[in-house]
Amino acid sequence: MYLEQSFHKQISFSSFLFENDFLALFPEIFLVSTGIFLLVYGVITSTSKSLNYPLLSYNISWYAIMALLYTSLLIYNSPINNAVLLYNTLVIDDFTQFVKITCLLSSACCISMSLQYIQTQGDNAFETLILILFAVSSMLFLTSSADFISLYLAIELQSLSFYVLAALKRNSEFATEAGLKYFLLGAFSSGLLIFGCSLIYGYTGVLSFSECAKIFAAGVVPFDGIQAVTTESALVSLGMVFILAGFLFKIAAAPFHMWSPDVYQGAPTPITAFFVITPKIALFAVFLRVFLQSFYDLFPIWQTLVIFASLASMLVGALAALSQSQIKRLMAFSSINHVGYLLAGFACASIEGIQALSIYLIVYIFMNIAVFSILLCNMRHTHNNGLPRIKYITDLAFLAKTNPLLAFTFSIAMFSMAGIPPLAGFYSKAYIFFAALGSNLGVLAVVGVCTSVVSCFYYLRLIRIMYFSTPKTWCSTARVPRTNALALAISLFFLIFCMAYPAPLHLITHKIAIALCV
Amino acid sequence: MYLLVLLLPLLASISAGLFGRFLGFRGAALLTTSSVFLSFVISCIAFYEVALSGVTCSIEWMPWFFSEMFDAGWGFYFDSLTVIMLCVITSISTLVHLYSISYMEADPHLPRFMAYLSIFTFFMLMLVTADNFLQMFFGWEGVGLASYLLINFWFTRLQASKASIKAMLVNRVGDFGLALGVMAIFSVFKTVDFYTVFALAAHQSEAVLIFCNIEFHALTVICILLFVGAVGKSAQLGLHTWLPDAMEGPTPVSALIHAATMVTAGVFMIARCSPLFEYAPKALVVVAIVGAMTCFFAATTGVVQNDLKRVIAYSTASQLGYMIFACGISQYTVGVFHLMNHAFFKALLFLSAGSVIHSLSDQQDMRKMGGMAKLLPFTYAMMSIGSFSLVGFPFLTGFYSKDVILEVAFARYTWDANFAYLFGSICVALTSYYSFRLLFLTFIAPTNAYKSTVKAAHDAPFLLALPLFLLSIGSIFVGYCAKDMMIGLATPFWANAIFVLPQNNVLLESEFIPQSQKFLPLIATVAGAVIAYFFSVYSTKTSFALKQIPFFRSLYSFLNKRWYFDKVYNDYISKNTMSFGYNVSFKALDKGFFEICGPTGIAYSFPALAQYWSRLQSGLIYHYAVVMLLGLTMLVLVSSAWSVLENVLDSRILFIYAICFLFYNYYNSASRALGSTENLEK
Repeated sequence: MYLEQSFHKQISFSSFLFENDFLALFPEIFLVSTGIFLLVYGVITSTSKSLNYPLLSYNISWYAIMALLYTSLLIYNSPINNAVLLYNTLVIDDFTQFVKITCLLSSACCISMSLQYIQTQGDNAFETLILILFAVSSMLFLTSSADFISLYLAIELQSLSFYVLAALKRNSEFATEAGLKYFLLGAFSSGLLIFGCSLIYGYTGVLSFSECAKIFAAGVVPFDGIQAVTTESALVSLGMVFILAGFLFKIAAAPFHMWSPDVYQGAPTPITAFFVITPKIALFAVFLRVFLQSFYDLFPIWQTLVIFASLASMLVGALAALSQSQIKRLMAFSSINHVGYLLAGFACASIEGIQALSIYLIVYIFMNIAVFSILLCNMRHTHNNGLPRIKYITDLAFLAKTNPLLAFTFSIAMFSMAGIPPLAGFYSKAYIFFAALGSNLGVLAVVGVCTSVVSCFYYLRLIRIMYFSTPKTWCSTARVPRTNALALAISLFFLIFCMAYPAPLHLITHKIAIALCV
Repeated sequence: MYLLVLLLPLLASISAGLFGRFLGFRGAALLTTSSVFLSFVISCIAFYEVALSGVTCSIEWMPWFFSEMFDAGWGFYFDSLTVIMLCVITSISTLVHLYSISYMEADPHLPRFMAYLSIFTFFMLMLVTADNFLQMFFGWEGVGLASYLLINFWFTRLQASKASIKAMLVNRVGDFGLALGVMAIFSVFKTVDFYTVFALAAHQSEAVLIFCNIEFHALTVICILLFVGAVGKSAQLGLHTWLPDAMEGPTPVSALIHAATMVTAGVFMIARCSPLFEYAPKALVVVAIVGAMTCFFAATTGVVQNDLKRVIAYSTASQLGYMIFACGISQYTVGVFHLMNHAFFKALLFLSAGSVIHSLSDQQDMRKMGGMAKLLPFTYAMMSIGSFSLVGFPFLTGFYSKDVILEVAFARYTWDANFAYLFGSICVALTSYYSFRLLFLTFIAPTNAYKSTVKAAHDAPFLLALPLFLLSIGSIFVGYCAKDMMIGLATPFWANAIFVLPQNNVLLESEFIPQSQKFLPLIATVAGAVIAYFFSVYSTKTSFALKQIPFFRSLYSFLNKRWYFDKVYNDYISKNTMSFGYNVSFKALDKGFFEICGPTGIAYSFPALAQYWSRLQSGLIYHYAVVMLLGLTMLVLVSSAWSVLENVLDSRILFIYAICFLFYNYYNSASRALGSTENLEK
């Protein structure tokens, strides 16, 4: 009876194919259509003479936050949690759902942290928010993508949004320069990526990740029918290297990191926060899928490359940051350093490695939310009521004197980034090192610890500046906006108490690691 | 009760040392002296119970180290050997405490001094009562520490500080040997417990031990290493240099530590380990030869010393040589007997010398004394008793042990025993010579002292005189009373405390050596005394004339300069070690290599590296593109040619590269800094 019923369901599943697809893709469809609706709403309203050309960015920001939150609720309550959709183009499982929700919530957080900034900077381009929404929806597709075409399309949509976002401040020389650099180099890397995909396609004839996996798995065994693939495996691995290079560029890992300090520094601070916080997890999600599913049988080759990139990122991130004097640039190198650790988890390619990587990603997001929600607070000169930004690291000097609580919070975030024991940063780093040691990658663990020590230097230097040096100009913080305060409080709570009760984090990450690996 | 023997001096020392300022001058003195005296009383009771009644006592007190097979606890073992040492130590210590009250009365740091003396007593008791090697080592190091503190008691005197450091360092060499010996014992026997080790000695007599990568007979190695410890502590030839210098300390210290007790620890240890030494005949040969040579060396040197205390110090070293070579020919009982007798008459001699020095306003040079017999009759009498006992005048204490040593040496017909006998006999004459020379120069010869000192000279006050008197009793009667108890075949005194293989026991044969041999020591003694009288009093012109002859002159300086031992040590060992310590280990390694690898190198290279990286970040877009292209090429290279690269990128090569990198940056920055200063000068 039961068997019959399930058989019947299967029949109905295949007969009403698109019904299920719509159901599964509803969150993405909602987000994209909200974006389009908001665009239309913005265009019509902001040019309306009868409404007196209203400023819409604050208004649309809240709409965007709402859209993101609703989308995450939709995903959370999705009726279908495991499916392959649209003729093997997209896939949904525990892993993608988790990554999507994280993306959505962290983007909502980024927007809410920037609300005051948007208001006070007189930056009235409401298109920013629309672009952010499109970027986020592209990340959702990216996370779900199950073949090279959808992967490439999603990445391109995301990148295009990012280029525009970076250059959004049209009157700023830095921003336009950043946007242009990002665009040119991004185009270069997209070229590498698509070239890699086409090489793979050329020698296998398939685009789907799972089909690829089957072919490579057979390619290991000498077998007449697929002998051709085996002999051409050097070219396959070449294609893989190109795909990997594209990926490394997107996450700003070491030999392909050059764009990130310039772009992060040049872009407006809310955009920088968005760049730092949100896209990494989506990119890692899809490339983990590509490398663990399609290229798992080429593991020895790409592991070496990932180790190499990981070592290079750790070293570059730790060393180059030593001589940085601008806070955003410093954060850029810091994120390169963190990417090195993430790649160490990647290189393990074991369940522990994936779990450690996921934990690290989440902790990384929380740490950066804490840091940027402070950097996005408005400052106030004591004399003239100007609104300077924290630009250089020496500008932090006043913080401990005029706002000790904020300084303390910033110190906690820095300590966590440096990996000081009772905080979440230490936990995540230690987990990565254990995973690396467990996979016999002692080099990564040792170099990781060493670079962590070096990076301690510049994190702790910020704290030293705050507490022990006298500022040149005295500032005080304006009232910390409620949204920033909320983000700050949540992230701080997480950073401090993660060690006390890490079980939920562990369970979730274990579940997603299992979903990806099995 | 038995533990009280150890506890009392420790408590007294802690009280006087830490709370001396509350106890005050008299309180500290009274407390320490009475504690040690009580300890002496209990020791006498223990002596009765253990030695006379034959009830050995073993106390397992508490665990200390328990790690797998290694089981060293705090335990105490009282057998005949221990209690005889207890009596000697506590009695001499009591008398020295008493003597110090008067001798040091003018010193503001008396409580500290008394505390040091008591802590020394405690450590010495710990040494002799230990029931395992580790605890003995604890006591051994403790007495070394106390000796260091006491030699350096007047720490503002440069000579005292130098002597104390010398004592400490020279003793380290010996202690190192002892520690190695204990480790070797552990590796062979898997325990450091006395009972177990001694019970297994026969079983392990064929065992081999790999030492310095060479295979040796285990017990021989163990015994020689233990003997190295004894050489250090008992000032045997080679490591003897610290003992004469240790005379820089206050005289009571010299009497207690550097004559009566601590320096005999080596002899005690050899006697304690007799079961081990018995099964290591080669080690016994070494012991006998070194002992005999020390005996001879110290006697010849003592002959021409002019410092009162130094003469006695060399005499001590010489007598220690006797004890050691007695042990070396397996006559441990005789060695310990001589140890006990020596403690009494040598303490008497030192304390009398202290009395002389005290009354002559701290004058120690014998050439500037003379004729003191009339001024210090009591001290003169005491010193004479001590000297007569030392030279082995018939029926005094020294006679009974020293003559037995020579007799057993004669009766044992091995080459090492013959060697020891020959040197020992010569030393009898030398001993007699320097002892009487000391007596004559100080008390009989025409005076050379300053008028002011002579005017102030006074005989020993009561508190100084009492210990001297008691010791003189000991110096006269102890040998006679204890002779039949401690040596001889029939005595059950030692029970199992000392083990001698039957074939090594020659006490019976020594009873049957020619009568002429038995008289020889007496003749030698008299001859030495006569010669001393001739050169020191009767015809000083002859001795002066002899010194004018080049041969005798060089002989004199050779002996007076202690056979140039210190000079050789300083020139060939200390100097080289110092220069190694400064040039190599400090300058080249510590401040050089390790600093560049560590803090300095990192401090120089990381900013340079960071600068370099930031310069790479040029901001030019085609640079970035080229870097990306290079990165891609490298990835392709790595993916396709990893099997080749693997060999090139060996982790060891990378390590060397990293080290070179640190050095390069250091010197680069250093030379740049140098260049900039040069530019400034221009």
